[in-house]
Amino acid sequence: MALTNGHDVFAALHETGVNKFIHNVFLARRYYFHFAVPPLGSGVPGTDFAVLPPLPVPGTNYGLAYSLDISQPVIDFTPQDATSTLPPPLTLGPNQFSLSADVQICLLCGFHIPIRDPNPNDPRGKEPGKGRHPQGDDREQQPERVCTHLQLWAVGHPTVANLGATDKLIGLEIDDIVVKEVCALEKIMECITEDAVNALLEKVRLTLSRIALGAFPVGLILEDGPKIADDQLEAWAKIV
Amino acid sequence: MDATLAVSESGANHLMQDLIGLASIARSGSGTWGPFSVGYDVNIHLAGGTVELIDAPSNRVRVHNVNVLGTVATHFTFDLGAILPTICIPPFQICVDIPFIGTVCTPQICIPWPPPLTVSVTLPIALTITSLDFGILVQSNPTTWVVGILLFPFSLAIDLSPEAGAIISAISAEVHSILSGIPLIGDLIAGLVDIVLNALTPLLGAILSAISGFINTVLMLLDLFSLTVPVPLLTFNKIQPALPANFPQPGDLEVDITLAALNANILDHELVATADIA
Repeated sequence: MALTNGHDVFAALHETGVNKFIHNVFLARRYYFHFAVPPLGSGVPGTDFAVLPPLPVPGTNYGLAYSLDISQPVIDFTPQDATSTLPPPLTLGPNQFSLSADVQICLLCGFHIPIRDPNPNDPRGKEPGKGRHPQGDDREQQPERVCTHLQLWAVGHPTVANLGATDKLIGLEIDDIVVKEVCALEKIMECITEDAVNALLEKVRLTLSRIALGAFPVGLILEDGPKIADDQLEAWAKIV
Repeated sequence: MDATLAVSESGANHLMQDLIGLASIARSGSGTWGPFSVGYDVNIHLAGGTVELIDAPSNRVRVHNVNVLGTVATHFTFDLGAILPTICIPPFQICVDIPFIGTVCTPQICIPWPPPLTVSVTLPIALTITSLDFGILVQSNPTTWVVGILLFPFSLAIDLSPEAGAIISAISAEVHSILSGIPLIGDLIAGLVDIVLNALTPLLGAILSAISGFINTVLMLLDLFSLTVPVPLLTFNKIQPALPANFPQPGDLEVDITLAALNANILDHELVATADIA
């Protein structure tokens, strides 16, 4: 059966190709996947990990250092791979992809980072810019790095954004996410991770011309798609 | 494979029209036939054509009805003095030797033929190649993968003989015009023109045949008609920047899509290229 379906060009990226691309991104842009409040974070801040602000601790004027590391996501375009472990209630329907990744969240417990007091008129009077132990004593506490591993799965759909008359920006966006092993915090974690994963996916969008492997330097006009089917991200276009 | 690109017949026609649109050439040649020196400036280009994709294992790109269009400007240079007889009025001169005076001749005027003249005639070139077949092949160059097309040998019959009449008319008119300016030969002009045409006509077939052969040779110089060097139809950079360097922040490394392998076939009347990404 013809692939072009009445159009000049059919361009498709197989899920293996997308996963290889994401692997390359994972190696070259580590800070897309690793986030930390120093002194957590491995390597050069801003290059090997994105720097986060400290996590404020309620009732204090300090924050805690924490980190969030996303493993290399694995993309599966519909139909679902036999090896997929997509948990219920997620299902992979037509024109959808699934994404799975591990997330490690760590906290440097006992390491207090002074932060600006967001309530400077609080009559209880905290000294701005200084860390303070909640019990009010100044005893030295040995910081301890505590971590937890989460697994997340998500399903989503392809997206397209305008990039001028002769090209488009094609990407993926998740609609539903499941984070396991977080019990009562599940909804909260899912909310946070959905936004984080979509922010990541937005950074790894590809142009239509790149999906067409750069074979049409003058440009392409997207006429149909992007669609997901047959383990591929597919688009149909007219040659300019 | 990690990526697939398919181009339909309409898409291939678009690509082929780009190649056909670039196919133009101009060359000059010359030769001498008897008293006639002939220069010719050939300008030709290709136009039109529709693509048919013929599936594997043939894997052929067939282009129907490609028009070869252009002109050949011919310049016939000849010396009337070398063609026409010497004409004197009266034809004979009688001379006598008179003692003490010397030789005395009856008056005679011989016609001085004008210097060599050049007659230019522009002939149209318009023929249609009903079918051109190209094979497809994939080339791995240092920085690119190229899906190229290579022409199968074909025959092309360029025949300028129908243009003989235009040449004869132009030369006849020009010679007539030139001779009309010469006094005393009014009654002879038609015959003199015939002499020139009689000199030309036996040579004209060879002249037009030579020009046709030259046009054929020039056509074969078009890249599209090379029988040994494929013409790129699709070109893929082996390393394709997907995320540019230094964006969104300074120091960001470029993230590439590297095409490690590429294949091309014609399937279901589509040119299908598949690539492996490194």
